[in-house]
Amino acid sequence: MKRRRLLAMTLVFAMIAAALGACSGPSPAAESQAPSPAASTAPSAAATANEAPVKITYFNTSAEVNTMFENMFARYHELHPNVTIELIPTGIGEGQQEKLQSLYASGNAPTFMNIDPANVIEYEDKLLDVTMESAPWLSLLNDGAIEAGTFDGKIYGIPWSVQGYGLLYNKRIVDQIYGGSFDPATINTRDALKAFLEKIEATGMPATMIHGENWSVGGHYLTLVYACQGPATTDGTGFLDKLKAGTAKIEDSPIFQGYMDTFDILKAHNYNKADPLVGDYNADAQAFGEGKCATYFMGDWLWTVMTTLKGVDQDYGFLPVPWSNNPNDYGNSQVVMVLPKFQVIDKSQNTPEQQKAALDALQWMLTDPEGQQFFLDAGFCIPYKNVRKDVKYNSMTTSIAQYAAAGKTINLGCFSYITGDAWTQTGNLMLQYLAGAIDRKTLAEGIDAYWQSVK
Amino acid sequence: MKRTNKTLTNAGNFAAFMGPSLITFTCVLLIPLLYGVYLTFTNYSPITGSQDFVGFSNFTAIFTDKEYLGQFVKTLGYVFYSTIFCNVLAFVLAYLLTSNVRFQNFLRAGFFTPNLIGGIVLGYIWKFIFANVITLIGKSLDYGPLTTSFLTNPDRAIWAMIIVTVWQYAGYLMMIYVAGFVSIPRDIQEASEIDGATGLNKLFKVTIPLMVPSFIICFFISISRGFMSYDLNLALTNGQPYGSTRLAAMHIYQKAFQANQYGIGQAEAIVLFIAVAIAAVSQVLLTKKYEVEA
Amino acid sequence: MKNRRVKRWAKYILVCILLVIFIIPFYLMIINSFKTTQQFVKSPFSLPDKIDFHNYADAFEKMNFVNAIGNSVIITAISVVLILLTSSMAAYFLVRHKWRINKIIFAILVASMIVPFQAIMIPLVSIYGHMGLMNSKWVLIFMYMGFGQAFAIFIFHGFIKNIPIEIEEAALIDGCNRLQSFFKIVFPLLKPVMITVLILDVLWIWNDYLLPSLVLLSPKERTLPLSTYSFFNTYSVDFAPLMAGIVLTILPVLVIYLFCQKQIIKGVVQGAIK
Repeated sequence: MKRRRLLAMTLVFAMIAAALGACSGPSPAAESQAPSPAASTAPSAAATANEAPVKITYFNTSAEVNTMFENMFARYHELHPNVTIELIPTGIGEGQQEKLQSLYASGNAPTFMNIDPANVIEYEDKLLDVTMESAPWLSLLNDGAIEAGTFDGKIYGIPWSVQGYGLLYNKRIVDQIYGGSFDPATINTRDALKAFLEKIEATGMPATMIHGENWSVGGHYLTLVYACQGPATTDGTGFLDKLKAGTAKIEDSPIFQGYMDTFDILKAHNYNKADPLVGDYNADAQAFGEGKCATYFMGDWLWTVMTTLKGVDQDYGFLPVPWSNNPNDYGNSQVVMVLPKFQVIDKSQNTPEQQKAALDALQWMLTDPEGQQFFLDAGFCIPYKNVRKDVKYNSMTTSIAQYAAAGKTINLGCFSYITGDAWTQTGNLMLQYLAGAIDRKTLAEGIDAYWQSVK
Repeated sequence: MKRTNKTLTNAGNFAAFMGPSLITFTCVLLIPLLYGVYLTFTNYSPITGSQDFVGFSNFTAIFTDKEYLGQFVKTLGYVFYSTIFCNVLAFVLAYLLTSNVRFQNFLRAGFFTPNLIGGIVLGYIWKFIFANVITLIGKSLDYGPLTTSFLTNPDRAIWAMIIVTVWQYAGYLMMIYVAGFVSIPRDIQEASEIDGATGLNKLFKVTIPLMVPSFIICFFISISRGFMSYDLNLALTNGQPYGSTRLAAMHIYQKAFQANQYGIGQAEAIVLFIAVAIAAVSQVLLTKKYEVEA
Repeated sequence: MKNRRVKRWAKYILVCILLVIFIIPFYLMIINSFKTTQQFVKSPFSLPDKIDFHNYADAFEKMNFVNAIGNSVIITAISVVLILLTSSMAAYFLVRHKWRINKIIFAILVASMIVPFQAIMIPLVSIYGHMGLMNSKWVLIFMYMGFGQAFAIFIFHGFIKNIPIEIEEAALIDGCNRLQSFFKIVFPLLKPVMITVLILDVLWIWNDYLLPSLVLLSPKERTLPLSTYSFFNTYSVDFAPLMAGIVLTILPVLVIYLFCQKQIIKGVVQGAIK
């Protein structure tokens, strides 16, 4: 489902090093950057203070923070009374794509929106090309981040949040089993992972958990196969192009075979083994948080559910998901870090005044300390250099940040270029594999057939 | 003179009685539908907004969509079973609840409540029931097929859909059957009783024939709702396990909006509509023959 | 005699068992609206430790309840009244005049009930959007009127057929025109059916999500179902307050339903006397 693409990612490798500036807490060499004058909170700043009233609309696909945006816009309105921003919220179960398309069809396209990179490509012609001249504050972005939002040489998407996924582990349980502190860097080969999981199982604790939904096994897990073809985005997209053309078969890729071998191991130790396809997100999160199993293939967005639960562990970290026994292979010691969503501005059905108002609002939201605080309070990690240095992120995000700092992240850029129903279709195949309904050969053939049917 | 007078009165009556109804219907349903049909002959997509004529290519493309046929057949099976079970249950309930049982009102309200909840909450509650409650029963009785959730097995998942559909709509159809029972004039019922008709006899010879309009309505509703079933499909199974419970309407929706093949999705919708229209309307026309005027 | 008694009790017990099965999900929803989502996921069947209205207070505030219910009431009430009025008249006309054109119209109406909403959704918003007719509850009411015709006419049609024409003949001979005949004689007889259609339509419009979400764009126009968005997250739902929100949403309809049930009984009694 498209909404699962919240996780759809675009990460440029160079950005990894840059992200460390924002996410790793107090950084030794940092000269604390004062907010640039353009981002001051004085009403005169955005130069719309005494101008005509402007009303703009904002379409949000990150359902969990509808309220955050509402509060932000209310505050912005206080500072700039002539600008009114109306939120168009979406929720799950509701077709976000359907809603957006109907807005365009009825001539009511939102002024600016928070959407997946795949949508940015789809709606490219309708979006504003944000140049560095019109938005000099974009230089506050971490290095490389702006490339992520650049499509066909133009900046359409403004990055705002950073997320990551891999094999989450419960520190308390694992440290306990290892009788001291456990070093995640030791898991860099499949054999090491196997031994690790078996050691945990030996104590009677279920070792891992796979969330039985197509976006997790298809969208997140299977994508590792494409992304680890090579560190550049074009390695991934090149591979996909070959699959689409039929000149390559996925089962010939050792990376695919490797990841499936690892998947087999995870399957064998899956907490949900008895009925792997139930896919209850709340129940799985609770089980993991209460320490019913030691690891979980998931991302740091899980934290937003953890905060709503009582009596759960707070300390987590990430492990890579290795696909081979060569510790130097790309992907064996890295976790995924992505920019899952972008802010874009529509130019096709909104006036230049509205577009400017939207751009100014974004500037305040993303580079003004007050605006940024809304994001930080909601637990987001935003890739801007001037984020306050004393921010404390949750244990999951901190772990991702540490990998980033060490330069050990996987570039998922190819995924922006996968549109349509890839997650659903290939994810369904993965689910069949998970449930043991098909064998690996059938899985591979199914994946090939899907890509060949995509134009 | 008299002739034109009559024509005028007729025309006047037509305008008065049918006017508002037809105008709103045309503006809101008919015109968008015709426009929609027109769009299937273009390469329109809500994103691009272009409307270049492409002839029948959207329709021929349906034939390359192998999944569609399979899902359509599955939908047929789903509609068949849910219609039968739902109507039988609704009829029985209506019958029981119009024979002056105690607390009739409260009971009727109770059976109606499933209709009030919909959407994601309903889906989640039933998912939980299938995954935990029924499995509990299965485990304690040690009966294999019940130990895993209905929803994770492609053959049983469709039965889960049928069960929940029957549950949700029985109360709805019951309402219509109740209205039907209640509208049967008492004098006819009493007359038949005087003539010696008892319980089941009375039911089959007198009540059911007079209830034919209700049957027509209810069968029609169940069949058309069944084919158009989307919300429940989405909330309960979302097409899982692995697409095996993706019914026709969901397939169309995903094709149109997620796979960004709006034209083909729309064309499939038109084809579905025509197929179901033929089926349902013929059902109505056929059963209307059995209608008995009071 | 005894046989009859036993039969009665058997019927009663059967109904009660069915009722329990039917009502379980609803019961689950209510007891869990007093718990937290965490408790709900863990043990949905357990009774809440205490009756805590905090989810309701939460829902009330987040949903902007007063404004939303106001919108819902206006839209539902006006739409339903208009539908009942126009469709009963139309159905009457279609039954009494068996003209060719009426048969065609009826067939079109019936067939239109099968049109999947997704097939006309985009054309609909495209047409009305470009005419600038969006974001208005009056346009929405107009749309409901249009969408509600087919179903209502279909039901009325079936029941009006059961009203013998002889009843009207007396009045018509006396010089009543069709309109008067309809309102004075037929309309009162339609009470049970009308209430049935009323309930079904109220239910449909009150709980409808998709159409209002496409037409009503600004926050102050939102109806109740549209206001539950704040409980949805990207991967999960905050169930406990959502359920409280849903209970708040359906409570008015439930009350109307219970009230109408009484009216149906009254209708039966009157019919019996006649």
